[in-house]
Amino acid sequence: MVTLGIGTAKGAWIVSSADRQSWEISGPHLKGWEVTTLGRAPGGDYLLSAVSPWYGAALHRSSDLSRWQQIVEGPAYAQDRELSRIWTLQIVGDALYAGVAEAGMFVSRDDGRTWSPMTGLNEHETRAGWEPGAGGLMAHRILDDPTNPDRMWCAISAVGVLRTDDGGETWQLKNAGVVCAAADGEDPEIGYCVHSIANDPANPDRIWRQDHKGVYRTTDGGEQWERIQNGLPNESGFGFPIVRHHGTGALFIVPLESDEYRTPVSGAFAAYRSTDDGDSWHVSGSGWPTDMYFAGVLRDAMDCDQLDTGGVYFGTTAGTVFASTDLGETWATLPATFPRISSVRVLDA
Amino acid sequence: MTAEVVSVTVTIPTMLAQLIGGARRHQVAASTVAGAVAALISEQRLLGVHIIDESGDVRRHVRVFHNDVGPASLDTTLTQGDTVTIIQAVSGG
Repeated sequence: MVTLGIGTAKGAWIVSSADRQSWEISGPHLKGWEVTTLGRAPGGDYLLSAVSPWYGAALHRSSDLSRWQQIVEGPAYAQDRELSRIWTLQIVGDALYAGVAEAGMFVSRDDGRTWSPMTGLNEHETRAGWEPGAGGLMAHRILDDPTNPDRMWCAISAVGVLRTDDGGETWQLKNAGVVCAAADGEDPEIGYCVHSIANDPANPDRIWRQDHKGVYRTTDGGEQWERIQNGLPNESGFGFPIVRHHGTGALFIVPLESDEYRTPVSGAFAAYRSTDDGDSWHVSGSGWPTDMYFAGVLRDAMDCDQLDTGGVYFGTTAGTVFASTDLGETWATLPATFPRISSVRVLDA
Repeated sequence: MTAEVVSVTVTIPTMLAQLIGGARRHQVAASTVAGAVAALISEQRLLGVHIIDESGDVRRHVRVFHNDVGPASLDTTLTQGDTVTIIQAVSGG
């Protein structure tokens, strides 16, 4: 059974399939709330984060994807800093991490029931110079190193990628080789606008990066990045999500024309795939709209089920969910149009 | 002189009510509008983060009305049977 969580501007939908051909759709859950991401707690419960412009953000948990209960003592800053949105959830061993806006990380060591701030990141020495990008100032992706629990990477919009080698006590900026999107006059280490990162769990130093300023990869944990845009339709390399199928190494992105327009080049919508670690890119198979399709895919709205047959799923700002069950050879759309999609997460596979 | 503690009805929006089983109206005991909001949050802890921000103030795009008039001053004294209504402001979108 493959289960997807679809987070939208007006609630979450749960989409399940035993054969990945016909899908059961339930929802909306948390009707009226923007569901910004979904995930799992180490003990198995499902989680989602919901936010509203009036009522702020909170985490919710469910054991059955039907009844949701808000976590009372969720991630929260003490004072003078707003926790406006929870962007990502990541299990590392027995711990659960949350990346949030205003940019920061929180950790739970009791299955998501209570949370503590990651002070080493949240009060980073460069923090005074952190400025938001168009989407805000947020820690939106966390990667771990399965071979070393003390190593993690955190992607923060308009700041860059940071890495810890000591379990989160200290963090260093790792953006050499990437074009800086918003250079800070006083601190050249910040101002990098990373949109998404994905790594190879078998060799975690290999990381691929969809940045505001293009597509990059590193083979040394972020010490140096190189541009990898051969074959992309957009000179800018602009886009938001990047996902990797670990079994084959296939990478998937959705190129957009530029940061000015944020729509597909000439309305020709398609995901792009690389089967050579990013050396080259090509349109991912067939099944794309034949008419103009001027919509984008947001950074948390793409995921891969990691099954041998390679299921890749993403949702657009126009409310369409595209699904491939053959590693991007063919694509089809789910039989529903949702509100603007913020997040697509594989919850079960 | 200390204001008298009275029973009032606090009404919350549907979006918040769905988080606590659907009940929109809550009877609380308080002497001021601020006290009524606090009493509600004391009974329904998870509503706290949705009504009050990190600085301890009512959220920027939340409004509190007293007897359907507002926005009300939080130190408004209540009388028996008053209503306190929490709504989302137009400014929030």
